[in-house]
Amino acid sequence: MAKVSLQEEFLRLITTQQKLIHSLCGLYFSQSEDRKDMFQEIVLQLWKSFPSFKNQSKESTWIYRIALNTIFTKLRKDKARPKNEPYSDDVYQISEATSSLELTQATQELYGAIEQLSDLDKAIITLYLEEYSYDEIASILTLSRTNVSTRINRIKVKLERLLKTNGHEFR
Amino acid sequence: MNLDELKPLWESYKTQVNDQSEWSASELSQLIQTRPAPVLWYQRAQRPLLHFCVSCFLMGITSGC
Repeated sequence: MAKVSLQEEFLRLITTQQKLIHSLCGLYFSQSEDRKDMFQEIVLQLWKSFPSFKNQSKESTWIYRIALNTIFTKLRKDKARPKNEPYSDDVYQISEATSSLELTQATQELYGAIEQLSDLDKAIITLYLEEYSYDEIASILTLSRTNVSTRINRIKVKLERLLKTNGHEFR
Repeated sequence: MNLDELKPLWESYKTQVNDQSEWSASELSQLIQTRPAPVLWYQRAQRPLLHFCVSCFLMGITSGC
């Protein structure tokens, strides 16, 4: 009985909040298979830590914290892995066929600009656009508030430059 | 540039990505077949207990005991 209610509660939460996870997977992984794998991995990590989640923080904050940790762990593992494995032509064909997200032009420009930021900067701008305060961003990413503030200023300059080259004009 | 101007575009990005990748409740349910292991009381107390022991140890060696 308890198992069912725990599962139902978790499913309700993920069904309503999965948009957050998909948006992060889309930013960090260009291949649809990688995005799918990462989505599954994040959901499993959330499920594992769900019993200890006691609403001390907002649901979305908890999801972002675990999702970003899982993504950073995966990226660290990928970077540590040697890159000298040869790929066959078939792999390239599959990659090309399944890589891109279908986005409208304006959204694609924003996505393209954010995609060029560093892994940490992507996380910071995502949380900023989700209207988290500097203190909350610092807490989620275990950074200092000053570091977050400095990085947001730099991100602003970078994004302005990247978006202007694509023809966007902001005040 | 005001970053807040990007918020509507960000919302649009999230919606479009979700529309292409959304999982149904049944797919999610299949993914989480097993119940997560419960966090036992002593596991929750592990870190505070470690901090307490380290503090006692440090106090012990610095006070000359």
